Amino acid sequence: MMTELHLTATEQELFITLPKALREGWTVQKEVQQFKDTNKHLRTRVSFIKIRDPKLHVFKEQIEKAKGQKEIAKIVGEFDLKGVHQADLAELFFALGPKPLFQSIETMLRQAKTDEEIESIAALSLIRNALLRSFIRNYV
Amino acid sequence: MSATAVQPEAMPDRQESQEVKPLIPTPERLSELLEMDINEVRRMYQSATERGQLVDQIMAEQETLSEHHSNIYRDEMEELIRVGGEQLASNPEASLFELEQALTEVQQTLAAKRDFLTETSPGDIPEGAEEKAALLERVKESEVASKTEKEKSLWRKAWDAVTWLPRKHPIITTLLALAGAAWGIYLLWDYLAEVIVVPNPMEGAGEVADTVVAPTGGAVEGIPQGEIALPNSELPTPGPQDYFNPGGNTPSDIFASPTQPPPPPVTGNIPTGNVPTGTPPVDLPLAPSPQGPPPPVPGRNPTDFFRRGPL
Repeated sequence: MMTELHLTATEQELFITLPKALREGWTVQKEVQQFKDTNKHLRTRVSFIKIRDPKLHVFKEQIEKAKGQKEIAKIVGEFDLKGVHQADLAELFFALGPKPLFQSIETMLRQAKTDEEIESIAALSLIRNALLRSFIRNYV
Repeated sequence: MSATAVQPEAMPDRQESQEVKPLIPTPERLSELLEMDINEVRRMYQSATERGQLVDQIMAEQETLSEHHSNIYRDEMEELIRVGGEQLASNPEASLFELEQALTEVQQTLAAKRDFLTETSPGDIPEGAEEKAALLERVKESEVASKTEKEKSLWRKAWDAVTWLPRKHPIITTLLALAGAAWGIYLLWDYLAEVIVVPNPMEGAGEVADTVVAPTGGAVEGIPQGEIALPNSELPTPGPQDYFNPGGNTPSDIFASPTQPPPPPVTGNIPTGNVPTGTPPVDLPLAPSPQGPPPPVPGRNPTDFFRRGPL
């Protein structure tokens, strides 16, 4: 069960402004890890993405057959990640890196209104925490 | 690199021992380790069919090599020698320094990925995947592995919670664009270029060849030119006013045209020979500022946030 949020100091300030009912049951851990990503790292990570889930391969085929940007946008906008293999999600998040998660978590904290949204924030913060740890350990 | 602050739990292992370092398998290093003629190693290194034999020889010495090197795993050696071999095949004049730089980048990426995957989803590698046994073996060895069922359950819950995000959430869209980029669907790079500063390969296949390692996740295919409406053909290029238009952040907007039309798309395989070498890294700015983010703009959603410009 997820009960922890890994939040930066700024994010913690946002969290405490949320209604008490939303904050109940969560323990906040301070996220102090930082990592400065580079284009080179990002490009290399993207080049090593391995996708296995058939659902994502169907998505790929749909994109390839799409006629025009509107159709591509429609396919992307309608794609549901539910049921996609967790290992593939991990692959994609690894390629993404932690940086976009900082902004996304902060934005989501400003707008959170439901328990489910807090759980998604907790999940993203947990993923960011693991990404930062693995990047700092290895990109030296 | 890159780490600007490290919390105690994240201190690199390699600092604990100067002896155990990753093996960067250049031909020169392999010649030395395997006691083989350098020309023979170079020939095998550049031959797609003979690289496997080099890997076999490394793995035959796995126990001994692992006393001094932290990455003697078959899949990692295969990838490193493939990348190095393709680099040498396409640029025989590449210096040892350039090759080492490129292989080091790949090695660090693979090591980071190994740590992240073993921590977050080792049990989810599909049965039959050739990496599974190796990965699970590493899970046992890894200090970052999920040590208990409780932690594994935590990660299952976390991945589930990610899928609760709205379909058009910028993180979801970005993940899908990354997948598309990895498959060589170049149009999706335009979105990534906006979001996380990845230059569009269509803007210069040569540059891509110089900077992007060959994808390993499936065939790299360009979309036939006739099947995609190129920029400016269908959708207006978003201007700054669009970034603050709460109603204007549909996926259509996200994938709208880049600011200038790219050259004709590259079809077929991306040249795989070159890995990142001399290209100076472009550092991404840190996301959180010490002063905190700017105040929220009423009516803006996460998509707006992403569309303001590079992260």
